[in-house]
Amino acid sequence: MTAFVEVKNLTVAKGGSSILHDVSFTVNSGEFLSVLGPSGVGKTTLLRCLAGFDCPDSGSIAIDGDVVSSDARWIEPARRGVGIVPQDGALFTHMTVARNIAAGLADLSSAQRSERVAELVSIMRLEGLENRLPAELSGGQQQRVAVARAIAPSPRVVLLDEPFAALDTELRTELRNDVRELLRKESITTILVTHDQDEALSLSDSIAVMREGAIIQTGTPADIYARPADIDVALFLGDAVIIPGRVSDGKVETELGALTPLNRVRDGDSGFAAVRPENFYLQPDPAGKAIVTGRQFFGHDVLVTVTTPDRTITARASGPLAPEMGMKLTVWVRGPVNFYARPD
Amino acid sequence: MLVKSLSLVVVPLVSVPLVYLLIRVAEVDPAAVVTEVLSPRTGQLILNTATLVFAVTATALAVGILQAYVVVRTTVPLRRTLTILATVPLAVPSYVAAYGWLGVVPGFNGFFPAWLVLSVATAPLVFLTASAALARTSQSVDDVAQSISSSRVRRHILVTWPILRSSVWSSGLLVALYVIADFGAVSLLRYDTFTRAIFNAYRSSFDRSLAAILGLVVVVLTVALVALYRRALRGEQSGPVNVLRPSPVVLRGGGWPHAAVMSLWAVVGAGVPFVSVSAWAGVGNSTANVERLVEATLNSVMYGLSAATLAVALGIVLVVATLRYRFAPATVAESVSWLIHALPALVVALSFTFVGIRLVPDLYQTHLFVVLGLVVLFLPNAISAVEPALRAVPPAWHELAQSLGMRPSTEFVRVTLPVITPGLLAGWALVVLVIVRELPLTLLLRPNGVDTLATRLWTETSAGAFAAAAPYAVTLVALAGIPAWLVSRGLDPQRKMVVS
Repeated sequence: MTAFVEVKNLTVAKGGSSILHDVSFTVNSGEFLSVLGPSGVGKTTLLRCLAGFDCPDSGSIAIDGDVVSSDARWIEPARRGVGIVPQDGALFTHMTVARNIAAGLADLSSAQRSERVAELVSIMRLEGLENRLPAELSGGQQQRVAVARAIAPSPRVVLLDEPFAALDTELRTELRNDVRELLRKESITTILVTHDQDEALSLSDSIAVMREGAIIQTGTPADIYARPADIDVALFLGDAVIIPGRVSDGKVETELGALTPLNRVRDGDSGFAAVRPENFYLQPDPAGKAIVTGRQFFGHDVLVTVTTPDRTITARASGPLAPEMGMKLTVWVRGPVNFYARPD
Repeated sequence: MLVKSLSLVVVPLVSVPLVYLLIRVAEVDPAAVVTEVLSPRTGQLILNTATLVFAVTATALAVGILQAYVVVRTTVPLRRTLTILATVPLAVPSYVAAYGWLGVVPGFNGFFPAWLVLSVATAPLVFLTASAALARTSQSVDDVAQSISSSRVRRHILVTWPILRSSVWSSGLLVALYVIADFGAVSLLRYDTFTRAIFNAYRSSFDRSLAAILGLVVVVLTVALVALYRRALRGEQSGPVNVLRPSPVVLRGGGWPHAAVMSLWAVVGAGVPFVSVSAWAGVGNSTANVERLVEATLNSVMYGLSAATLAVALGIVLVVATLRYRFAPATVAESVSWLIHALPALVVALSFTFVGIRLVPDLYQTHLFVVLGLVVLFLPNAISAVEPALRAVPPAWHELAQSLGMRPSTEFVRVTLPVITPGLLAGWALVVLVIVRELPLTLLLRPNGVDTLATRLWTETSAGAFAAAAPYAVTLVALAGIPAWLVSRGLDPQRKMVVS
């Protein structure tokens, strides 16, 4: 596969502070990339540079081989073939649903235009709402219209700026799935900006993790979840318990025993192992030193808070077999873990 | 209930102009009305008024919107100064501006002068509503428009026009009503509109039915405009208030050409009257009759204070009766008073002279009668000052106070009043200063020999005595300037809004 979107050494500074620092990545044609990071790390600025709303200080952006932004060249937003779905939907409040969806279709004949609008109305399940004004729609319906409007002109790239963030969980899952299906069907290259790791992990073909204006790790969701680049990424991607340890004979010696490292380690290093809650094995043991001090029941599984002599850990246990409050245990770690050496 | 019975008192008071109109309509000979309305003279008046209304509204909209756009949405330099310049004409009542122009350009009469003076006076109304609306421009909507179209005009149609639409209608209506109602400027500049003709008809004959018929025509025009406005705004909804704004549009030449054009309008429009007033004041102050000036100032302030206090008190009664008790007569009184607010003050004044002569001759031409007329005219100003303050008091407090054993009157004094006092005082002060500028009603209703700043200025200017008029103009601008200063103080249209 060839790089469809190519971002090279993008740097943006505003008011003396650096917002994006030497950001480079590529997205393949038809691929769904999520840029994942907490708020304020420059994700939105990156998106605005791609769309052409902000101008980078240096670096270049190419879409399908055309340079759209560089020191020498600047293509205005409307000529980049980029569709955008902002967080608030940003529908034109004075236009009906159908006219909103048609807003980017000025070049088509009116027959083609209504055909395309009808197609998107059906895919985004907006039938019957064509003549409503945005104020008469629910939040989820508004976002559906915003997505339809962005995709209607068949852009080369669609940019999603946390478009699902304001919706409640049930609506969010449903809308995410519909959008994902539509994007796959139209095989549109997509870049999603989000701070929601579940969203990034479940929707994307690949993820770029951003921190303080730089991309610190890229890879497939499974890759990144299994091998976070450092402890912060590990903690950001999901719950993890951090346990101090020391490497000897290729094993990480910890208070919970000798653990197998996933990544390459050096004998004599000391640092921290990150253990996911689902990697703990809680063995009932009347002589055990650990005790169950908390229990959150979720049906399919249970989050158990266990107090050991050294710390408090959170472990995930499957529903029916989870230990009860006050039960004594021995804690084991199943499977290999990631180890991060403390810098010397 | 005290509040309810008090609000019942307001109903007959605000109904005076309506009763007058109904009696007039019932009384006049239909044949006479038809003859008068169809006469070439009335036709000419309609044409004059309509031309002026149309020209001034178009100019004020164009000027006000451009000023607002430049100040709110671009990188223009000297933004605060330009904002103040755009609102400064609010400090100059239109008849004072007319006096100022006449003082430097003798024979400044007719359509063009009336158009210029009224356009300058009304553009700030458009500027204020349009800049408030433009502040709601949303970055994300602007982004989407940019990704859709590379035509700047198309983007404005998508993004700017929908935001401006309702403020164009509402401020356009405000300007049109202002022009129809204006009496001082058009009469000093000798441009024949309805208000000037009504006044002349009223003054020049003992039969006041001609003035009444012309007054009815103006009422019809006003009601038609208000109806048009209601129709146009149907289905309009306001957008979100807290939005992330797009970055300002970069202007060519660093925005200096734009700043220069904006200043030029203000310098010509407001500067000439200012300079003229100060120049004449230099001449006039030496010959001024200090005693008369003090007397006129005292009369103005006295009318302002008493009418504003009464209007705010009645405003509280009406708003409490509507908000807390949903008392229907109070709601009716509120709506009627808004309707009257749209009518030219001159027509309201005519109705009061009529009622005064026929029904309460003992009250007619007393100070009390003038104050009552001013209260009816400015009750809506008081209501709009009182209502936001009262709405800010949670209804739950009222119930809570009752559950603690307070009677409603005790609750009002101990809970509501302390909360609303600051807002109330500011609103009251504004109403005082607006009343000080009032001309036509005071002119018609004042007791014989009593003069206010406004009536003296008008009389002296009508007689061509510019030097004698100057001290009154200066005092008026100083007093009337305070609300304008309050409006522009702390007004930075690009002040960053809270972003959630």
